[in-house]
Amino acid sequence: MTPVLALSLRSIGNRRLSVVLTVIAVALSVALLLGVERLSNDAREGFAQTISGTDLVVGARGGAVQLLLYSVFHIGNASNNVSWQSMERIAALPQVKWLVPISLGDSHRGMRVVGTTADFFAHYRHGADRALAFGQGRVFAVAPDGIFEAVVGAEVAARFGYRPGQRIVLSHGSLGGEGGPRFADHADKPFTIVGVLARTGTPVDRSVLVGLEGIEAIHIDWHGGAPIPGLSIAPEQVRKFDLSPKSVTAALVGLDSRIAVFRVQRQINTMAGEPLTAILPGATLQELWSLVGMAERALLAVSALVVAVGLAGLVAVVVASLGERRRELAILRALGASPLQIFALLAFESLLLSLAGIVLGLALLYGVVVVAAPWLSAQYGLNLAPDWPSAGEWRLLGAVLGASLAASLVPAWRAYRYSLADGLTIRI
Amino acid sequence: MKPARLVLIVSSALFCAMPFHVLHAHDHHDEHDHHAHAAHEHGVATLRVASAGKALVIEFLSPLDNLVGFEHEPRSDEQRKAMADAETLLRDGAALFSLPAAAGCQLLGAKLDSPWLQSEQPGHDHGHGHSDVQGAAAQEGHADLTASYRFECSSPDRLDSLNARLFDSFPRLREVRAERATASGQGAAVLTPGKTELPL
Repeated sequence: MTPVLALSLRSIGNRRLSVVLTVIAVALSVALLLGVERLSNDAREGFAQTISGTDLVVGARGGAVQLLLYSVFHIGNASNNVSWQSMERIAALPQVKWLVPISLGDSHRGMRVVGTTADFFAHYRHGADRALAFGQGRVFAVAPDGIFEAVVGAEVAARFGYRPGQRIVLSHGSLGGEGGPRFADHADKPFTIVGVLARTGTPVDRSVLVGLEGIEAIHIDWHGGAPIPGLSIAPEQVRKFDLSPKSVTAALVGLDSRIAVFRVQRQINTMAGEPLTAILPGATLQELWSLVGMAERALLAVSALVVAVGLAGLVAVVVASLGERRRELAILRALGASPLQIFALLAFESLLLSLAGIVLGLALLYGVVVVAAPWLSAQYGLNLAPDWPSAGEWRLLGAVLGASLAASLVPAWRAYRYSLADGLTIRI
Repeated sequence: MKPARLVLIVSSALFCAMPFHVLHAHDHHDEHDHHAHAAHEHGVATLRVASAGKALVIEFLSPLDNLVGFEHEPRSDEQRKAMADAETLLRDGAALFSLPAAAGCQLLGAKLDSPWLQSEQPGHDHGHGHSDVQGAAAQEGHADLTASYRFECSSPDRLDSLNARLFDSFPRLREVRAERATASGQGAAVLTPGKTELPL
């Protein structure tokens, strides 16, 4: 084997440029294939880690996946709100241990504002039962003292450089902020940051959390989505008004025992008075993945095709080189190399090139992961980890290696045939 | 919102899938009656599995059509027999749902609920005390059956999967949408005659 190896390396060295380019093509395709696999896995993982310990999510009647997306992942919007009476009735069900209401609809510089209660910090869990932790500061105080207090997520604090004590202005809907219409800002009632949460890798990082009363207070002189002209109620005066929430967007519900979850779900779904939907967040997430799975498979199939193209390019280069190397092969034959040895030489060469491509592709992938991870985490809340390849990735690598092995046989077979037919009779 | 871009696929897949569910929801908004009626789709049934500590609860909800091939009050002896046979099969929860032997699960009780039960409930519950079960009433010519099972498992930590034998007993059944809430978290799966195992 050693002379074959030495000869292969020398021969490759003689054709550096074309060889290096093909190896790069293979490396890129391998990096793409593994990148798609890793990105979809980590995105899946990230979604799955977002909520745990919540038995049910309750919202207005609608699709389960939609409810999960807007209430937990802050994607899309609710079609309807849920009345506060319904919330109270659900909280009063005997099996319900806790209920955390969530009120969405306002924003701060592109970040969602989440109106909730202080219970959110006690009951929200992510990953393996991890609670929210404060990087700085504390929870907003109970109304009326804490009406205009806010807690910001780690990403909000990092991007805008917020610290406890700073004042921020919330905007109505997703309007307002920089470049938005001025009327949409709740500028007359600024909030004071009292706490900054530690990073969680969930949408909470990109949220501004305030009390439900705060949400009511900033809309007290608003009607139908706009400020009432000529009416302005100063922040000091809003405390005199009834700030108890009339409706919320959704609620997270925890039960005494998991065993009752389907019974409570049914009770909520069939509750007289208001059409509601209760979902099991974990189960709905898996339904979502089964929908997304199709798109994922399509992406993976495209990347697999790219790898096939890369390998085809490699074969083409090696086969094309055979023409130039007839002389080389003929000399080898003259020196006593058997056709089988020629076959081995060429097969080994192609395999070596694809292996180099795979290794380079892996290196490229890890390089990109290390460089892009902080940015992806900040922008998209996607946490890419430079871990060892997963079982699925090893399988893909194995498939690529198998494909390159098959591909390497093509030039080897050609050379084998040449070496038999041509011998030393070269037509120039 | 930024993640929206990334999950564009998510949402588009979702919106493609949504009308499908809406279509089958048979959701009539009566002014007087806000009770939502569950989706009723022939060939499809729902399985719900919850466990906590040693307790395991399984609930199986299916249009009657899947089980006996008709959805009206049985009129002939043949139909009455079909209904009774289905009920006998359904009461045997230990045979319908095979659980890992290592978990040591015992069926404590099974309860059936449908508008035209042929067999008496074993035990005391004569008066059909089923207030909160969706399958209780026939609606728009549709009727459902709900079967609930209670198990007790001596080693719940070994309870890692459930094999549904429903498709053998009820050949009209094509698909079972299963949801679970167990010690390992919540999950969902679609069971078919080719894939009968639900990981717990």
